[in-house]
Amino acid sequence: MMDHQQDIRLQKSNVVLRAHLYYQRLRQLFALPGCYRKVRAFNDCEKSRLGLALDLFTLFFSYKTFPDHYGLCRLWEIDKKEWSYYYGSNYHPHQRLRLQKAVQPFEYRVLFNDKYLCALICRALGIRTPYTWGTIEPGQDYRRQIQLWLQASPARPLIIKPLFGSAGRDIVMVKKIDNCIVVSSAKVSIPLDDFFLAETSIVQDVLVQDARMAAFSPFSVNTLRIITMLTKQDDLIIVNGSMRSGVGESFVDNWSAGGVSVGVDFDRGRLKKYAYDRKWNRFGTHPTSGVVFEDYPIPEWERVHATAAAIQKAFPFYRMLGLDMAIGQGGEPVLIEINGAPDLAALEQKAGPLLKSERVLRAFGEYDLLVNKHQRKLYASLGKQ
Amino acid sequence: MKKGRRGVLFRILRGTNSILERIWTTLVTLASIPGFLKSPATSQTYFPAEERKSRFRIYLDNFLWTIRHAEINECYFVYGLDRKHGSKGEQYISCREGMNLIRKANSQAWTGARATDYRCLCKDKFVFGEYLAALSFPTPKNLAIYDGSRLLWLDHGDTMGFESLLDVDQMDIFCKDALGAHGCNVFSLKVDKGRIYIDGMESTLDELRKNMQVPSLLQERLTQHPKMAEIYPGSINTLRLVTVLSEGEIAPFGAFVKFGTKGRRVDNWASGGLAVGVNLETGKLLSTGVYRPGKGGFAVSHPESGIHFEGFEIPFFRKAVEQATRLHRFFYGLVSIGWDIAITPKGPVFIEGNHGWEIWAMQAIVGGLKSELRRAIPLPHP
Repeated sequence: MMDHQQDIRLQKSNVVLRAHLYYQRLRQLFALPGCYRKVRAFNDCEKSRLGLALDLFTLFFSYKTFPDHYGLCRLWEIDKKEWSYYYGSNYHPHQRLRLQKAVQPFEYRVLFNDKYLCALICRALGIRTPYTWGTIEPGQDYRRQIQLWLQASPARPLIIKPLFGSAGRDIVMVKKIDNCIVVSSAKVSIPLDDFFLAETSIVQDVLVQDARMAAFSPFSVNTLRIITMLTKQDDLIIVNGSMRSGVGESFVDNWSAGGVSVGVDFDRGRLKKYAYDRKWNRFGTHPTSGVVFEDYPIPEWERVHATAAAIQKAFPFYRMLGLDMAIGQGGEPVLIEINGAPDLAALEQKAGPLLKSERVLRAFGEYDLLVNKHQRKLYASLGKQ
Repeated sequence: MKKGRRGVLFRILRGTNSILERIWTTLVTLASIPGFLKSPATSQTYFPAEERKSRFRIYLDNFLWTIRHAEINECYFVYGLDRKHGSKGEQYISCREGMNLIRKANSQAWTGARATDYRCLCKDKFVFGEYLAALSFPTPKNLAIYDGSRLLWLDHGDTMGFESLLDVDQMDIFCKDALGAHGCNVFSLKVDKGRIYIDGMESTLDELRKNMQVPSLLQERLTQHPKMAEIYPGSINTLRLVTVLSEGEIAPFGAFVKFGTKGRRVDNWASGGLAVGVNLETGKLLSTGVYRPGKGGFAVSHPESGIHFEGFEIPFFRKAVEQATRLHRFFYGLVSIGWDIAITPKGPVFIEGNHGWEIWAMQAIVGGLKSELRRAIPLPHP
């Protein structure tokens, strides 16, 4: 009886999910013109109007994904036969549904979205993270609390991040300058007394990074975004990854906050040729420091790899994670935060198509994450080899 | 369509669905009242010495309860509402309302304008165990996870086939459904030189596979405190302690101990266990234990050991309360948690945290808790 009722509930839930998926796809259909205009406005795209429109329609209908990665990944430069290797954004309906069902169960997302909870869990599991002082809330005397913590950490500035923040949004740094406590955001610096806290936030020490990472930008903590995955056989694979760096005097390295991001060749532990910013501009060298990206060795790569593997294995119930890792002084890998739903399309821009790696294609196929016939054909061909 | 209008439409649809569901549930439940009141198992009075209401009045009480709460009041007789001069129904919160209140409070932790659901910390026994172990709170050690075909041994991180169990020389552990509740699918597992014993009975690997849910958690077996074992040695008799987070302060709400009976290896009230209240001030058992409706009545002593409950002091009770209060701080996204705590010779050990604990056992022991619960767990709002 219970099983039958559960079956009915499951069927209802599946019907609701599918209805929601089609509704979202319908909404995306109406967003296609906006996507078209955005790509047309990008000078580097030399595609004709008709050609561009056909490409976008092909991606939307045949590849079952909203074509926002067309501009990101410069697909007009890529042979159409290679398009199958691109997975597309995990935020789109087909991808999201499958990922949530198989490898990124939504009910556990809070363990990573809540930065304080994540820091607690990681610290308690022995994963090295920046020291977390605690949380502050708008209703409290947070200025006093920040003052006390800063006094206890005189040598280092503090960083304040919204508890559920993402993309580097609303992150501020607090430091003492000439006996005055100053709070700096990306745009402005103000005294602590004038600082207004909008939402519950976590307060941490700012990590002192390894000189080899600081070479790109000494103002920001430059991090590696590594996507790890546990296959169905419980083997760990690195899906993809990139290195992010701030630009100018920005203290955040997030790509969406104005930083640049370059792909990582995980087999060799070196950076790829080009970095990109969020406006799709491509750079062969860092725009501020001029450091050449291509073949730059990632410091302590083996240790980073091992640490990433250990972290993913500590969460066997959540099969795909995006780890933001920095390299501390002495080359020690430090986990900055964990992302429960890392942006895969942005990663494909820097590091290349996800499904080009046979390991990743196989793992995605086994979890039934593939969303269109082209990807499934690729997976089927693996079996024949 | 703008987000605001979409949200309103969604709320209207959801509200309509709730109303229709409630009407349907009420109609179906009304039809089952006669069966409930005729069955000797469920309609037995718990107060035979006291004057009872008329049969018509009892029917009316249950009819009105169902109309109001869309449920059968299974604890009608446990609460003593069939007595002419007993407690009033208004003092008791219905199971449905109690669970909804706790579920809503626990499923929406408001941080500014955002509501987040932290229940996975309690719902998944593996996550719960790992979290507590990482925070250095006492909890049974997680040994392995079974995913339907293989075992992931947590000590060395190796994944092995299910048959690898037979290679273990000696093992005496507990298996439980990692996402289960109410003590369902929990059993002891012993492996002795390739021979398998489930709840003490020799069995086969195939039988074991059928018994195991997906995912299942293999945990170390606990030894309970000799004083607790005095009352009933056949099961781990756990303390259910409920804590509530209100306005930044955590306080115990209520507590009772569950004892196994009749040779059962689990102490769950739902499975026929005996629940006895605990005085939060003294840590001593109250005078009377109660069975779940259909499983028995009241008892002043354990049916097997004959030990009287009144005045029996629970070992390490103060420590259990102090640890639960401290632990709840790390579950700051949950307003109320029902902790299941085993009392071992070394002190309290947290078996699990229940984010959807049921109020009816507590009401059966101490009486109506409607206003207390509503006061302790106000609904969150943005």
